[in-house]
Amino acid sequence: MKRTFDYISILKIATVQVVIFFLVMIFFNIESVWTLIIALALVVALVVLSKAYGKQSASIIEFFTANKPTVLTVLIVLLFLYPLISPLMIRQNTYWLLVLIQTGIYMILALGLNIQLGSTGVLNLAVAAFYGIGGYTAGLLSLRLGVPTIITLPLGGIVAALFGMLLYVPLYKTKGHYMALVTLAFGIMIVLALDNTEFTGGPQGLMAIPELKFFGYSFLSKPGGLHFYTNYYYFVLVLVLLSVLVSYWFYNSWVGLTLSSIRDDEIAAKCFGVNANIWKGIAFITGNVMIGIAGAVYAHMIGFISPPNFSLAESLLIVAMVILGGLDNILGIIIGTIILSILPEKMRVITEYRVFLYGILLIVIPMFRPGGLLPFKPRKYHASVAEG
Amino acid sequence: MQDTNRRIFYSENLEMNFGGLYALAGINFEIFENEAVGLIGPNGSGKTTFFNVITGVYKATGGSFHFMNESLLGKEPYEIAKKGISRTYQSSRLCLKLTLLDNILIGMYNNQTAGYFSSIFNRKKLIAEVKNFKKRAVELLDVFNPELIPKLFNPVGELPQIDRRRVEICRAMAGEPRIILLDEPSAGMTPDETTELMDDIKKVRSTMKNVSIMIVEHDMSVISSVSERVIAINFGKEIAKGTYEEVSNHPEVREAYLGKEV
Amino acid sequence: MGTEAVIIQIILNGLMLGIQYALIAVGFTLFFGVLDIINFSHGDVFMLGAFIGLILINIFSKFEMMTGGASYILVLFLIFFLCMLITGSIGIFFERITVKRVAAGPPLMALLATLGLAIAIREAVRLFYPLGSESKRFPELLDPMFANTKEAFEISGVIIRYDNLLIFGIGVAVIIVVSLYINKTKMGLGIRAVAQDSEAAMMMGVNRDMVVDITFLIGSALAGLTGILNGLFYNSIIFDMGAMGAVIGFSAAVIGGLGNIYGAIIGGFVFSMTQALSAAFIPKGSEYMDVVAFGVLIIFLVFKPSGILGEKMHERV
Repeated sequence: MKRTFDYISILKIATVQVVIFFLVMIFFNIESVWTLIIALALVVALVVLSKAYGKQSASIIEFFTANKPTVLTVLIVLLFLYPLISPLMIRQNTYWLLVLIQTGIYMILALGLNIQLGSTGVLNLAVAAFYGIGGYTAGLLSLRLGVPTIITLPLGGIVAALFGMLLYVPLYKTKGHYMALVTLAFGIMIVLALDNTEFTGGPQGLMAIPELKFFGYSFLSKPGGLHFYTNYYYFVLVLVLLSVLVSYWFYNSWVGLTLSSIRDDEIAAKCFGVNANIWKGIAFITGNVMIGIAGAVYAHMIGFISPPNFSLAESLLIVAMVILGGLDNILGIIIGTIILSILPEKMRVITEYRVFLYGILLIVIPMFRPGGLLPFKPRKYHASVAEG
Repeated sequence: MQDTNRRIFYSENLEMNFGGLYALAGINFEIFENEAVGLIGPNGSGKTTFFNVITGVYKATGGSFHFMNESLLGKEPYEIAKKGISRTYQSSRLCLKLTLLDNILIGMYNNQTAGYFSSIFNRKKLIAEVKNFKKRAVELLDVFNPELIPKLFNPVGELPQIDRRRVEICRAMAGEPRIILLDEPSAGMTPDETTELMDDIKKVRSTMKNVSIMIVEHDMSVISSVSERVIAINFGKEIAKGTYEEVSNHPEVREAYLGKEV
Repeated sequence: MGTEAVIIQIILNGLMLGIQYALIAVGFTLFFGVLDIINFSHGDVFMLGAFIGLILINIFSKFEMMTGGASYILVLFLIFFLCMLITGSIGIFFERITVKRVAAGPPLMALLATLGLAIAIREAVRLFYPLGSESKRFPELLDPMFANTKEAFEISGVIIRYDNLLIFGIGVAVIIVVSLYINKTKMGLGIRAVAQDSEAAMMMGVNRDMVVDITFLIGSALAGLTGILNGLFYNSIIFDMGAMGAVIGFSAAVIGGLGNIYGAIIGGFVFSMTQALSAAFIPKGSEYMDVVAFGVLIIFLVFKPSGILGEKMHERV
């Protein structure tokens, strides 16, 4: 069937998204505290209004959902154009570029954790420790052995997955509280071990880790005169898109269904043929590969890593991103990550209170919105499945 | 009937000892092809424990049980499920947050061929299989309650009890098992719903050739309308077997339920 | 040091740390018993106890009540008592506003909420106590009591301070009082009943809400006291001392058997002795002692989750 292009709709959607795009850049530029507060108040007001005018906002949302391909295409185009436009519009462009890259890395981490926590119900409180293992693997290999980065990245993921398998027996033998405590203790052990081992640089960690380099192109070079962060921006953007795609595909497949059945009722799943132990292992490995690769990218980009980067607090932050977004809700997790990663950067003024507010957030979400930001989405597998 | 049909399941002296308490104290039990057997007994007599043991959720501490002459002793639940035994649960173990469709598809786990890597690299095969399985789910729902079909993508937790039970039964049937174990399906139902349930169970047998049903129940009207033969147990041991009339009139059975005459 | 001295030193370290871990673990195990929740904020209640103790000491000093003499013991007792009372009340406050509520839901959410509460308490102290991020000197309260006698004695070359013995003694005394309370009083019976089966207990007329309140009062008061004892032991307190305290506290409770008070006590000493032995006998032990101790915890969680004294539970199918 030939698809006809509804040019009017495309134009409407594109215009809205471009406007938001520029608003976001203006948001990055805001320096005065009062303007910031007003901006945020406006956003809150918008949310409240949309609830008050329920019907109109519902039809707007439906319009966007019905034209998903357009929305996604425009979004991706804008994301690719960003580093080309931002130097012209944003004062502290380099800083915000770094923030966006870091946010992208958190998205990969959160999506990796989601496969373990959101899909399968395995509470992995050692997620930052595995992030660290990925980083240290890449760092040690490239620093001490000169291994090219095209190998250190996947190896970061593989080694993180192997370390994850140390938890295989505890994974299937423990449930609920106890599983959380096992991963908690394990994470602390890893960080303590990293802190006390000379081989990994002890408390100072690793320094001067080489940058990413593929086929002779060094990520420290300045493409077209732009800052070298631009290289990392595009690379991480591609990785994020891949992570979203892979997560989406796994969710809308037998894999996603099996993992959900283990999460929601393990005994019933087992009685229908699911070898829950193996599947938990598979989920853990899959998640850890993503988490480890994210760690490797981080190590190469920042150039130095140390044990405090991968503490329990960091694990809790990533867990919060998944919970805030909603278990197994990919869009929700993306939004949750943005809120917990970009917003605090902007709220420099409340930097002192950041951790405190974050603690309050961790109290409030489970109490009032344990389901996450966005409402539950049924699994459709594919558009063609829902029809007929 | 019983004599000409093959015996597909039997247990010998099956025991389940919980730290000194014998929930099952030597059960000898048979299930034949194409029959419906009822299992009754007062609370705590071991009925659900029996189900749990033969599905591998608890590991028997003594005796043995076989399916098609293959011993299932010590096997894990997922291994036993693959052989063709499925069940429903007293407390309805559905994934309430998942859709109707998802819940029924869980029952077809053993039929899946599109695995981990197909989810990424061969989605065409996966989606074709999903559509296929969905067809079967719709066919099953059609038998029990066609009104559920438009709700295929609603969370199953939104449904009333009787419909949830139906989804559970569909899930148990979806994988085309040889034996379906129904654990107190009428629990929590109104009398009207129970009548519908009895029809549902009859539909199970008419829809699937070659399936045997074993049903644990407290509601005797369900047992008498559905089962061809009945077994009564108490304190983990068989106390009577035969037709419903024979068993319900058996003195030991009456004593177990009603107490001794003073 | 000779082997005898090494052994004595290990035992000393194990005992001094163990009693503190035990006191915190008892709180954890009580909370798990009545609410089925791992309450991470308990560690930071311990920290609050230390700071509240410090504030009380400063207040009393201002009123010049901290001079020696017979009344000194009374003043000390008053400080301990007030601290326990205040911390206990704070514990009830936290329980009412969040812990009890999240305990009713999925364990994942409850865990996160108590972690969030822990973080919030810790940061609140760091932000709102003057110069909160720096460590504070904790005065040697017990020394005036030994002003006229020696401060310490010696066995095989190992110095044992009297004030440490007193710390240990206070801890032991308090634990004994709490065990007696739980085992011999009516309210204690109520606590044990709710811990076993809260619905059955309620049907027997036990006021569950009051039981939960009292449990949090006791558990938090114990943590508060431990805060002061910890301050006396190290002569220094800092806003994040509760983080490790929480993790070690519940580790001890799990090792001993969640829900069992004697288990919590045993678990506390098992954990501290593991640390002490690792520090003494493993090369670079003092750095790795926490790693070893957590390794022990994981082994328990995986192979004997019911702990040393706990009971096995079957999941209902």
